[in-house]
Amino acid sequence: MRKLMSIARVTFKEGIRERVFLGVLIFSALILLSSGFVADLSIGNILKVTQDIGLSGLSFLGLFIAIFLSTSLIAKDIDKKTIYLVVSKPIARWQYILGKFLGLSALTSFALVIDFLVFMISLFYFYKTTTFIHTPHIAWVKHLLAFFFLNIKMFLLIAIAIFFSSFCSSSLISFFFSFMIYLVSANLQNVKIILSSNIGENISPNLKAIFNIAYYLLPNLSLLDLKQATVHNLPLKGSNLMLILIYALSYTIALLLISSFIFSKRELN
Amino acid sequence: MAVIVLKEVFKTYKKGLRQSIEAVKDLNFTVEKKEIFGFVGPNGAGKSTTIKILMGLLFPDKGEARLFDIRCDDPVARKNVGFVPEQPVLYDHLTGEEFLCFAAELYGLSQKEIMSKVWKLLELVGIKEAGKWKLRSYSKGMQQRLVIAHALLADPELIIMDEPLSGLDPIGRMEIINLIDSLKKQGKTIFFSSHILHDVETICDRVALLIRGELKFIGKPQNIEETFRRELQKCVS
Repeated sequence: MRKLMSIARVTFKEGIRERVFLGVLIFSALILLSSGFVADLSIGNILKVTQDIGLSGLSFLGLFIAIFLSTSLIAKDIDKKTIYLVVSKPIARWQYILGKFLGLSALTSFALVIDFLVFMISLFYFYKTTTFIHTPHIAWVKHLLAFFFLNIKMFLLIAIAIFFSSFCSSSLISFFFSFMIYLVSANLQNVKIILSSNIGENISPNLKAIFNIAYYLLPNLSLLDLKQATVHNLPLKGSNLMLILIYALSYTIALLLISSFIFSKRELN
Repeated sequence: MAVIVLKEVFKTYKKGLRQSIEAVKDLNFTVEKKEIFGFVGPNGAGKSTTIKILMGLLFPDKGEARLFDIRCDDPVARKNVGFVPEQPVLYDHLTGEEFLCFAAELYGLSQKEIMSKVWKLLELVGIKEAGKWKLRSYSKGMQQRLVIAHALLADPELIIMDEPLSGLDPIGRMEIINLIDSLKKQGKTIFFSSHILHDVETICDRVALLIRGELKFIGKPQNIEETFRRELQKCVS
């Protein structure tokens, strides 16, 4: 356990000292701070737009760290051969993979917590200083829940990025594949709704079959996105959330197991 | 019991779709306890490939490599081994002290052992004053010394060094040679590679000569020079 934590700690420190990490953290914090003012320019429910911008900003930050930093830090270790000094110790390759995962997860959560606090302060300030005709209700608890599931989603994305990094020789390829999986996985639910509607009747059965394989094989990230439920204060069922949580964690564990297996067979030349 | 055993080891690298290079061919030798074993050969002879196989970074296509009678792909085999890779690149955001603490934790040392060893080793390799500096400010020679210090953290029985003298100035080379000599006096087994014959002649008990992946000589360093010259002549012609 100590070995895992050491690798995680070094990964966290390495990530936090990346200039690009700091840049994205500050940039996203600025977006979150200004979300109220940006929403002011829009037509419609200003408060809902503010929340929408805020949660999207958090998602963008998490996505960047989860995919970009995960793929680049592992590839850097292998390219620069820094990994020699780690895996030549009496540690198994799965410990390296798990240590990296823990470090990157901590890094993502750290950044998300900072930006979430900025967002909450900004939202609270905007809520208190704006005059509304009908005082709107903000589902603060649901914001916390959405934030929690955003973290879970990022852990899953980190596991996807680590999976591709475990066998791809270039960080660019790992990044590309991870990002593609994110794009497809985040829209699976929407595509399924479209396919089961009238529009779906005109789509070829082969294409539907391919989609069905993708639907069951790829992680359904849209399940972990509680943005709409939070912004529009829609009801959420506890048992459903629990099932979604178990689903995401199981998927993450499975990916880490497969990545560890692949990485244990990889030659580090 | 032999500390290192290589039995009929073959390793081929794929180069493109059709071509392949035989990096190591039918390698057989053993290294005994408390020996300083020099592994010499020109660049591209297969020295680093052999060392990577021993450290579990590469896997042989055929044959068997063992450390302390344990297969090299088993992490337990590396418990009693210190490794100095060729021209190492370190985590430059760490300080020298942090790097050694990290390495010590990977060896599974206790906090008490870490505290007592880190600064002693920094002093031993002559970079105590730089212990709190970030590694990005270390010179090549200082990095090499730090990596040697890291290899000694777990007080290993076997130390494997891949070109430990490369990139060092004459004084640095002398200091590292003296350090290797003092480690021998402590009863350590040292396996080290070099492409410079003089390095191995001065400090080794036994030497192996590797040319184009094949073992051409194994024996006392005094007898290697003629074989080395003859084989180099063949390579050039």
